[in-house]
Amino acid sequence: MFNVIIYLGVGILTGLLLHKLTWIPSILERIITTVIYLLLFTLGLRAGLDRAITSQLYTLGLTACLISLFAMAGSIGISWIIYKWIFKSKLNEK
Amino acid sequence: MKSSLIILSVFFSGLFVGAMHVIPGKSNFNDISTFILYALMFLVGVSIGSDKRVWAQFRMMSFRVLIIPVSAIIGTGLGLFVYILLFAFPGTKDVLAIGAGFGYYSLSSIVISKISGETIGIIALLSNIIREVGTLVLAPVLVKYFGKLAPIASGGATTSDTTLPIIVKYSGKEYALGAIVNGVILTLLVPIIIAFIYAF
Repeated sequence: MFNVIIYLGVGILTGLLLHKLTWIPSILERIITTVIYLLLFTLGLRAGLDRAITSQLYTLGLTACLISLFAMAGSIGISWIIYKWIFKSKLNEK
Repeated sequence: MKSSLIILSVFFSGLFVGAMHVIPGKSNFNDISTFILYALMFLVGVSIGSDKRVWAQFRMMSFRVLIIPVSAIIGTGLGLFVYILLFAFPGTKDVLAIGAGFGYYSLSSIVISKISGETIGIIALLSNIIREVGTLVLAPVLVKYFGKLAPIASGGATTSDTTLPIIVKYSGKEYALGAIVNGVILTLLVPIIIAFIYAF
């Protein structure tokens, strides 16, 4: 799946070369949104065709909730430590 | 918030059409969607490369601002490891990849479903939408109890667009630049980190 990164990299280089064409970002935004909708529709479509998936949507939703809960709690915790640490060092400077 | 509702309705209408069994077979979709995915990655790259604001942002930021995305990545990783210790489903790589979406639900769910299948792709879609909506809803509470960096860390890749207004409102204008840098860097890293997780 390194192809993903290669296409992204080639795209970034192309974008850098074309950065003088100011109309590109706004048009690209619209194309990208459309393509994303298309791909998400086909993701739904393929999932809908698969009984194994539709029969356990509730479990999948619950799993999704739990994963985001842990991911958010972890990043909030670390940011809290850093915020306190920066806040403390700022107080010491005064 | 509005865009995540649109995304969900697009996904669920696909799900509904699929479940109706009006379309025969599913193997035909794969080749086309791989091609579309690569085209999408290329276009996302072009939009990043041609966006002057992104590079202006990189030039004007100081090294200290980087501490926010770094802490978001480390914190997310730690949270996910606790999840992996407690629950058997899904597999380690899948959990890490889902978390590495950092709220960028559209792209991460598409890439993940391509690599690991629809089931994991759907969890990635829902989980990352929850991360965005959760940050929007909880921002005032997070600032109150966990400091002004908390909604930026929680918002992940969304802090340069959808969750930026609420962060500016509750953390303050002086955190806007940090939020934008955080969002831009994580957005850029999402497909790269996901590809790396599945490569090893």
